[in-house]
Amino acid sequence: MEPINGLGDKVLCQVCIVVDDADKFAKRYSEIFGVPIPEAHVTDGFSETQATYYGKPTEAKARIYHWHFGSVGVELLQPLGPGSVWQDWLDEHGPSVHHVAFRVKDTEGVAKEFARFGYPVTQQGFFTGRFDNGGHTGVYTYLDTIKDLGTTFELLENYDPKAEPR
Amino acid sequence: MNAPILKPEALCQVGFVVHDVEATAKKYAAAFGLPMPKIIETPGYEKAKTIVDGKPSEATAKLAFFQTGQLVVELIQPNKEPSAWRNHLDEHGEGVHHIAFRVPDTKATEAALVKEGIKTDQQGLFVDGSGMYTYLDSAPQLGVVIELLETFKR
Repeated sequence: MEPINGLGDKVLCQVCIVVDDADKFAKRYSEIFGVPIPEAHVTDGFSETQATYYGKPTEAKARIYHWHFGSVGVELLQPLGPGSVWQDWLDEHGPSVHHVAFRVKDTEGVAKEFARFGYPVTQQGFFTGRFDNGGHTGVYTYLDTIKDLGTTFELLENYDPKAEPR
Repeated sequence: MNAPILKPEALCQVGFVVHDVEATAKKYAAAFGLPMPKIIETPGYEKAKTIVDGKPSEATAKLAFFQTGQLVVELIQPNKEPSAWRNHLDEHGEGVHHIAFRVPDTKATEAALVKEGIKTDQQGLFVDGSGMYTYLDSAPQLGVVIELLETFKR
């Protein structure tokens, strides 16, 4: 079978750790890695993100801290409320790595490629925050890869190529 | 803010424990169009000097590596002996076990981390003896096991 198309140079750009208390963990990251604690990013509900969880609308939000460790994003994510793959993972495993991410330019096309391999979308939503013209800034997509590949793979698409990568 | 004990930009690897390294490596190679890597088997205590929870150990593993930019994906199939890998696989099943950082001086880093309440769980030499790895009990504080990787100066 032909490999998944649309992953470019196949560079992993992010590692995300789900936690039960983002503030507490962020403090420890700051102390061990000597990095400032950034402002926490709290994602919006369905009206802004249009987020879906196994195909159904979800209000699930998250409290997020993000750093650049070299060229790799390190994300601490605390799920806020049920109805997300983040909360499912946290409930089952406790604080631990939830996903790694690829940056893509054509989420729909790449998601179809993953589906061709038997890895459908589990959760998807627009980034929180809008451009001045009211447009969405990007979209994230989680794929059901755990069973075969040992973790969830995420697709990150930034709609503004000039924007700072998340 | 403190000086970093671990340099953020030294992040270099994400390590997975799996039941069958060859089968999982084949899936990675097929899905992402990557060349199938050579499977490496780590040696026992005599060569690797593996220490688990402070004691010499015959824990070994079969390893496969994929380069994906700054991060290397490491797939690890542990043998049955108790180890950081085996314990994680038995407790959580297949999944991410650690993220790794390059360090110039393992002992100095360990000493600084002990003061932060983070201790060593497992340690050993690289397959070819060119360096050493160290797993830390950092999961309660950082949400993930940290591995230190030191390549010895020649």
